[in-house]
Amino acid sequence: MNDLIDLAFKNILRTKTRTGLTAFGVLIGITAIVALGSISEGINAMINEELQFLGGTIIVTSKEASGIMMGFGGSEITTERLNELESFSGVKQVVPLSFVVGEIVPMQGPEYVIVGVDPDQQEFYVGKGIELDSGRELESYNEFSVLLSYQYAEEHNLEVGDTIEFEEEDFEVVGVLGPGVADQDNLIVMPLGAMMDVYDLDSYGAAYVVPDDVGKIESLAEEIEDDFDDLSAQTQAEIANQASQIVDTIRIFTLGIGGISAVVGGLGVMNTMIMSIMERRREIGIMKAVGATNRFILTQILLESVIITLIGGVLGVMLGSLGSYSLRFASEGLAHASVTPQLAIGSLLFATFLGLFGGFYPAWKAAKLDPIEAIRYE
Amino acid sequence: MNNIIEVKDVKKIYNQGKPNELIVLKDIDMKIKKGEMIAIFGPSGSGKSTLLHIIGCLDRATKGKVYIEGKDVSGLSDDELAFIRRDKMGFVFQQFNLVSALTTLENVELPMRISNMNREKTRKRAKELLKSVDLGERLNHFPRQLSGGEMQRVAMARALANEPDVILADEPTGNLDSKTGEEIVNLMVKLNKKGYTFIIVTHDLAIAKYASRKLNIKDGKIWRR
Repeated sequence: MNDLIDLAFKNILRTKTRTGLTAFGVLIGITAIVALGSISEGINAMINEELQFLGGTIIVTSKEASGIMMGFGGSEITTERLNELESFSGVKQVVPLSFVVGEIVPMQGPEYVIVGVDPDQQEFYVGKGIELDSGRELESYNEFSVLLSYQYAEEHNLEVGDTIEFEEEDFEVVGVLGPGVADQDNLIVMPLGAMMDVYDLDSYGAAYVVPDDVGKIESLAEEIEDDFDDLSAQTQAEIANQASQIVDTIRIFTLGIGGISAVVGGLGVMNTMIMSIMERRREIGIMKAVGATNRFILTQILLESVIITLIGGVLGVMLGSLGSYSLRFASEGLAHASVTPQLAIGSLLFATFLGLFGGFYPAWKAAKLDPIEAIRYE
Repeated sequence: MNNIIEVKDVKKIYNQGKPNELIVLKDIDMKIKKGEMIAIFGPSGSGKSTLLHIIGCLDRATKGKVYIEGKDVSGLSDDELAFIRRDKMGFVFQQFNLVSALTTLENVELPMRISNMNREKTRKRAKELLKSVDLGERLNHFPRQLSGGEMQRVAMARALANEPDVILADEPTGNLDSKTGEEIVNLMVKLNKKGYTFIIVTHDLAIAKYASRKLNIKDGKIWRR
């Protein structure tokens, strides 16, 4: 086999320009696949990321509670439970949170709703890149501090630096959310550790479960419900479904464009190999005369065409990666464009396939040559 | 029973049953013993090259049988014929037929590489063979850098690569001037004395001088033995 490769390299280097141009044709196609593919991967990653805050998470609550707001008290989401969920297959991350609901004011609902979150993961509740009207974000798990919704701060005339009392403990107002950030007017955000401490809680009100793949969120939620009898897992599946359809469409579209150009490159390979075997007819006859089997010739020619397409493929992956890398700076929307290992390996496999596809007919023709006629051929 | 090759009632017909049917060989019978040097003469178009190709398993007879070392090769597949060519036959052509992209050394290595011989052994043997045809100094030359006589000696070394039973030469001196032609004849005689069996299709009377047997083919038949 080593000998064959050596010989194949010798043969394709005999016509350097032609080999180079043919490989270049494949290179363009593979570059297109890699660059466009990385854009669709980037869009996919971006949508995935957005979705995890927009309902791309599963909300796990205790079945005994009638809803997430009432979660505390009858809740059974203990730390142990969280660990079990975390190690569940398909789960990327589990983010616990708790709720405390203030006194109900007639006609208005509760006076306030306190949400206890881990400051490191507060974006799961208040959104990504939290927008503050003033002050700072929560910093540590156990600090006695709160963020107030814009409306609550206004209504109660509170601002950064003031204190507010819960369960006979003083909490410092460290920040006020921007208007329109909270979906409830009476929202107070508190570090989860401080809340568990002050309200003497030993389990959580709910947990956000982040799936590995937003597209599989629905089935993951079902599996969680099957495995944990007493928990309910809810998703905003509609959004996730639509998004994954959009991503699929983009993917098919981009790979389609790349694929077409690569197939054109593959036809170039076929053309080159047909010319090559015409020119080397006599030589192929000689090889057969000295004992080469049909399969030897077939393998030899296929190897040559695969080497050409792989040269184009490897360079195409490199150029496509470079292109994808520069796109990140060209447009913020493409900041996530990335060449995944699957994309790179897939592209190389496709290049190999093009070599086999473009090389098969010429190789078969060469293998079937009558040695006597081929030797006589001038 | 020392017949290394036996040809029985061999016919070769092109385009059989069509209006342009062409009978090239009619009922050829011959036996060749190990160590012989057979010269086949005949006018062009007499079918002598076709006979050589059939004996060398490059071509198939339309009818009749060819035995090589007692084995009937008539019904063998393409690949099985290729193995016989590889292991038992050595070819030398009028046009030399070296691979132009390969060096002298690589040309001689080719049959051994096709038979998957160990790389080092291949190289060693190719060098020895080229030395034996006085081309030890031209290992890395390409065919275009060699004279006709040199190319034919490379072809001879290549024919010997896999230690064949028979060397089949089709007008080996036909493209050479008489002096270099003589060198090739001498080389063949030397190899024949070492025990190699030769079947030579030729016009060259110099070869006739050394041949152990001379066959004349005309109109697809052997006329004189």
